[in-house]
Amino acid sequence: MLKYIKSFKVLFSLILLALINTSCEKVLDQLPQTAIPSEIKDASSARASLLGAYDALQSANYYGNRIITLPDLHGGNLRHTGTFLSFAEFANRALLTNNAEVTSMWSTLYNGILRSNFIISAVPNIDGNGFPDKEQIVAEAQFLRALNYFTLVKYWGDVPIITAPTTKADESLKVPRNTIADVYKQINADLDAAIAKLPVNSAVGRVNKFAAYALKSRAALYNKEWDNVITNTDLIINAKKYSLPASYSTVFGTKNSTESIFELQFSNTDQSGIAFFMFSSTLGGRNEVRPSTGLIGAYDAADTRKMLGTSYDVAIKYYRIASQDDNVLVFRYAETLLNKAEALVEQGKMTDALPLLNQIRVRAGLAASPASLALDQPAMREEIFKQRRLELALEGHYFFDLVRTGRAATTLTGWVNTQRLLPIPQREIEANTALKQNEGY
Amino acid sequence: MSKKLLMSFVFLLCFLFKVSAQDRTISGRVTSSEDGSALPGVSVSVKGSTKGTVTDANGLYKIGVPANATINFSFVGFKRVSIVAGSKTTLDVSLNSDASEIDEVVVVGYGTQSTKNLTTSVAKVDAKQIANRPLTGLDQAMQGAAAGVNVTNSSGTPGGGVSVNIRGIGSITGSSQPLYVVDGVPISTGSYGRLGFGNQQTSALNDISPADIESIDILKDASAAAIYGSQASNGVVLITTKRGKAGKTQFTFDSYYGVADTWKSGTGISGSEEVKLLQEMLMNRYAVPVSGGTFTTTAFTGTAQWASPADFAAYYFGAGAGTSTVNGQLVVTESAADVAKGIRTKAIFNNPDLAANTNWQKEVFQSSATKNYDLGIRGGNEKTRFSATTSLYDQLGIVKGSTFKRFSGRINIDHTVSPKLNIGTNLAFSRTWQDRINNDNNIYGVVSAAFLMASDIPVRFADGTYGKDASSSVDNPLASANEPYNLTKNGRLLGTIFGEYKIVNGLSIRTSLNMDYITYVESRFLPTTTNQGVGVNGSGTETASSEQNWTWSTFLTYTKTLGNHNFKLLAGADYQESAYEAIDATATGFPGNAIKRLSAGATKSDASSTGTSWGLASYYGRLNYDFNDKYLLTAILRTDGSSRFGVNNRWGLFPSVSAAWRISKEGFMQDVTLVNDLKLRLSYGSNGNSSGIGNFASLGLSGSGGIAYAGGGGLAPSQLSNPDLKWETNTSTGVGFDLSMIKNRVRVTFDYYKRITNDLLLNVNIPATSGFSSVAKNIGSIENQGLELSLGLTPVKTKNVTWDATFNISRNTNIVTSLGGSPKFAAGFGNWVEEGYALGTFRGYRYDGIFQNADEVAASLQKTTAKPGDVRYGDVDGNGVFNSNDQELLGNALPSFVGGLDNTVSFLGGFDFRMFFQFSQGNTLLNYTKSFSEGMNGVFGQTQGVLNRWTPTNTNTNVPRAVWGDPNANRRISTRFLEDGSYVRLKTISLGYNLPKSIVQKIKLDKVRIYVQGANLWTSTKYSGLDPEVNTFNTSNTSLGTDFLTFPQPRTYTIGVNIGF
Repeated sequence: MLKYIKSFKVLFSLILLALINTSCEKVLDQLPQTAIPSEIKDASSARASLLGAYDALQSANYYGNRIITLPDLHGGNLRHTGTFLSFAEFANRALLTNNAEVTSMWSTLYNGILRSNFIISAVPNIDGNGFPDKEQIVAEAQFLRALNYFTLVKYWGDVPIITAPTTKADESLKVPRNTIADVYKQINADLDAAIAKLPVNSAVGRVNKFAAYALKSRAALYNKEWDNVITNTDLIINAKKYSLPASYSTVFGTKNSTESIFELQFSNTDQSGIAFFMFSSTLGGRNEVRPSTGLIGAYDAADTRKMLGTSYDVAIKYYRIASQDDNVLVFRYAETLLNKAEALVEQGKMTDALPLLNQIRVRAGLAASPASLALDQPAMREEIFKQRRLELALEGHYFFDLVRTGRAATTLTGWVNTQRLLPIPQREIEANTALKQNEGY
Repeated sequence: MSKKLLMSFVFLLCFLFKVSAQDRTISGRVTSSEDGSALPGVSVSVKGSTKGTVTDANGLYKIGVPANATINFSFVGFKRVSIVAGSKTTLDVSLNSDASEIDEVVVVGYGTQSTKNLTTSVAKVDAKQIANRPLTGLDQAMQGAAAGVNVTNSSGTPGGGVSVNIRGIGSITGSSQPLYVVDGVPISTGSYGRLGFGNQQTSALNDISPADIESIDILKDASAAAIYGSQASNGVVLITTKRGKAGKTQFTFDSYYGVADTWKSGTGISGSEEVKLLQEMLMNRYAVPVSGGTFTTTAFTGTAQWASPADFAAYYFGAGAGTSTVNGQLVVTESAADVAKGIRTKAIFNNPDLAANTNWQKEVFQSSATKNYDLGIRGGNEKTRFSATTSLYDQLGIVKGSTFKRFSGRINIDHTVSPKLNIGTNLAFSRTWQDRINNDNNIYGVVSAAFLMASDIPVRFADGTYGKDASSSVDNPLASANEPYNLTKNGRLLGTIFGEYKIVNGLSIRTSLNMDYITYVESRFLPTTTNQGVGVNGSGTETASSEQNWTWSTFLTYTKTLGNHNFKLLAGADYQESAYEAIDATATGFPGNAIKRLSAGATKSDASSTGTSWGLASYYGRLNYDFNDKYLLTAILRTDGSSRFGVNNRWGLFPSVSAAWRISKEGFMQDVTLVNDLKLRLSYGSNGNSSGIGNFASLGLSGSGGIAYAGGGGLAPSQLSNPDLKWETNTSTGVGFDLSMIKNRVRVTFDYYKRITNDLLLNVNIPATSGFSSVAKNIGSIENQGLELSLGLTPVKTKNVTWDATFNISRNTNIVTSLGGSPKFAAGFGNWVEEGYALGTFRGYRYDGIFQNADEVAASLQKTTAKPGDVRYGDVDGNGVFNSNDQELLGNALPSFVGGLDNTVSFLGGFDFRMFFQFSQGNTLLNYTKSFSEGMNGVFGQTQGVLNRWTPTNTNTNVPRAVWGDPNANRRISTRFLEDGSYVRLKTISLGYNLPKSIVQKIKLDKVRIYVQGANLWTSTKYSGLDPEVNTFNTSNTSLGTDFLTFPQPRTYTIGVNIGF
């Protein structure tokens, strides 16, 4: 009898063990709590994905900081006062191929392109019923893709054009560089498609038709397509939707002023790092960069745009150090006027350009330039360039303006022409053997 | 498939049962033959059965036995006795002490084994090697104590992280840290802090009081560790805590008090030297001499003429400074505010001796106290045994602002319900409080700023506020130490309830349900007196996080002897699930600095929560077989399913086999009296590493964390899918021997191993043009090969003096054999990962001297950036162009040899002396601190090396010139900053004295020992930084051997007492 009891106990233990087996394997079924499978399948995921594509612009490696600060540091509007070796390399124009900023900007831009590509490929397949903004979403994604490619092409020249979303990691990712001309072709194609569907009026912080014209005009300026610049700036000017506020400080002091064509929105819960980088450490910043005395000295005493560089607080443009929510003006009306003025001067139409230039000067508290200036094309060029520098300082234009107008060689000491482009990141060259490095690196 | 196999194995056990019956009781007393004293805790068992008991406090026992039973009496340190009971009902036994037989029991996972029957490599660290040392965590206790175990203190931060690598680093992106198992329960380890403190980390291992530890057994070999399957590739550290013994209730009280300081601090230049240096930097960068003491600056303000360098320097730094023109030259006028602050004024630039002179290193380091109190109560009877302990450890850091305090307790209870059923519980809790400071790569760090804050800034300004440098990004180090409130509170509960039932003779089942629960609450408040708080009117962040990790473990063991064949079988199943969640919130805009809670912050700038989880199901079996204690074999099979693995690879199978031959048991060895024991071991095994895989890394996901725009929540693709994702497979082969001779006074263990890790988990860099930067893939291989030698000697053993010495040394060579076609990559500040080279390899430029004149520069490849005095770098690829390709491999952070030497001497009947050295040899350190502290590029504090900088009159030097902004990048990673990191360190030296029994008994105590001890008292190293025991990247596998403004190891003097009653 005893024997049977023992055997029973054994059996019981084993059955117990076997039971645990099946029921407990459910520990293997776990689900992520902060992410969902990658797909855009309805209006709500399409809208959220579009906000994701805008969010890419807010990155600290993009308009959230680097794309604003580095071109001015690179060109000398800012000087380097902080600790980052990678920033010092920009200031010294001695970039190494593993520069962290170069690497991050490249990745961030293509990550933005991925976000747009996802929308552009998936949203058209969603049922349009109850989805009135379907085409607008695609158009906004096309605009953002164009803006990303424009930033890429002006910094790196030839770059790979990717227009489909990545779904798996394989050899097909190793793509070569496309030519600058092809990249601009892609930009214009996206913008033309976007313009057709973008609204005239859009929600705050979102792009409309005019943002697309503004980007077209800027791209045309870089390509010296003067007619094209004038056509697109006229589309903005003649709509009379935008104007220069009477006071320069309003442009930055008041969010979304009448001048703002596309203003990237930041808030105290969705912050930008620009003021933090520019403010002195004793005022709560990290003192990484500061307006150079060269830039400060270039302003007349009466100029209301003058920065207070040596007294440590940059004031004027990025001053909300406590909330770190300075918006970034990606496109504003003053640039439109200056773009058109520059194109007119290049076409020899100086008298047409002078009133545009004077709108900028007078608003800044300066006297209007005399009519005699319009007789002198080189002087007019200089003045437009100078106003562009002063008006658009610390907005990410200066280095590119120096390069595209051929002034880099005369303005920047030790200029070598290969410095006009950034190196392709070393990590990218290692990961993609089809890429060739830019000259000089 | 493999699961079914294992289950069949379990069922097979059913057929091997045998039943026996008991029929009478025998009792008696066990004494020591030396002095006739009663021996409590002697194990009394019936041969051929699992029946057994232990003697009580008076040495008495009672046991039921079958007819003609043979009874075994065994006790550690005494010769085992077997007596045929015959028809006796009383049996008194006297045991002889046994010095010759060394037969320790080691824990091997799901059971124990005697060392003599081990077939694999297991190292043991026991309580006396840990006891009384000022150690925060048990990981530190393993340093230098076991061959093949390389323990690196990442920093001297109280409660900071420690890196433990067993037999090399076998992973790149996965963890290379071992699995820790406490009393059979795998526990959570790592850094749970959510707030950043430079690279400073916390360690969940610090929740366990070292005083509770009975022993640490380290499974080094894959064949031993295979029983832990996919978690075991980095070895397994098995911790056994102290348990109660039947007998008189014993009280122990141990306490020590220590004083610690830094053994070395940096030597900064003086304030006036700093001012001169700043002036020289500016002049070298911007100035073009004109004539007669005037000069022009270019590329700075257009073109300007300055009356003097002091004018220019004051203008450059002066807040609110203005200029006027005097005789065509710019002259500085200063604002009253600047002059009042008294830093970098024109007067100071004209006369640098007027500058403040602060020794920041002296300001931040302190002499600090460490206190420790342990109270233990242990006892019980044959039915119930208990151990209750509580500890308080309180450590002040040697850098101001850092503390670590732990209050912990543990109760272990064993209860014998019936001879067949044992139940018990272990319950440990702890609470730690850590005041934390930033360090390492952080401009708000304390040690960091003590290096990087210039010495011409006063500690405080005349108005009493902290002296700050508005031109610099670093904060006043003293403000960083004193002002921020950074408290990390950690609660930990480790609980187990278990039962063990003897089903029939030889077969028993054990099941345990275990919970490991961690909570963290971190509070941070940055007041307006800090640079971080001033801009936002105070900033507060709080986080709350917790992890619960439960395990259910059930296994059967069966032992069987058939003639000379001894079998021991194990089969079981474990299930584990872990869930983590956290909430973070930040507020700014505080009404002053008094209220630190977020309720006071006007702007709630950030709020977030997150959660994640994983699960593991495991089935395992083990066979131990020996023939006559002579030929030994162990085979293990484990299968693991993990929620982390991709759907295509959910289950992994991990087999291992090992064998040993006890040569000394052979007949031909019986005449070789010199040799007491000789055993040859061979092993082969495989296990896995699933630790580095993100919980959901196999899935293609879109995330929303931080993705929002204009008030709306956004989504963006975050990860590419890889359904094939699986564990890293670690396969190791080993051969070794254990030799004990001359009456066990010489003990040698030698091992050779080769460890190959395949299916290496890599976040493979993919073209970023894809929008993703990397994807997790199982590609690549690493090979570790090594030799380990442990020597135990008892050179002196007399009545009055016993001297024991142990020495261990190990060598490991690491090589990345394949990256699976994925690109080589840089890691950390100067590390490099490339096929054919070891992890920890440094890569950088070759320092090739200093340019002495303009002609040398003009003829060089650096003519666009360099000037005389700058560093010349080698054109490594010899192609006549100097660029990023001219970097070469510059040495390795992994040591050639590590080891330890421990000497213990007991003498004159009451004294004990210990001297423990630990060493690391052949490792290179990157002194990245120096690239800043001798950078001479800006406003940063500098160390004395810069006094030998190149100037036109000091040309015979290897330190380049001072130049603002460093246009030639003299600071880049180059041979200049790589140093030999070898060291030998006297980790512990102690002298103790046991008060004579006669005195102790008078005060009604059992034992009183007093001791003095020193830790890190002596260090021999060529390394020029603060401390050679360092890695700013903590437990990183790829970023190794880097010193960057890291908190150094303390040197501690302690005095302590051990009392028993």
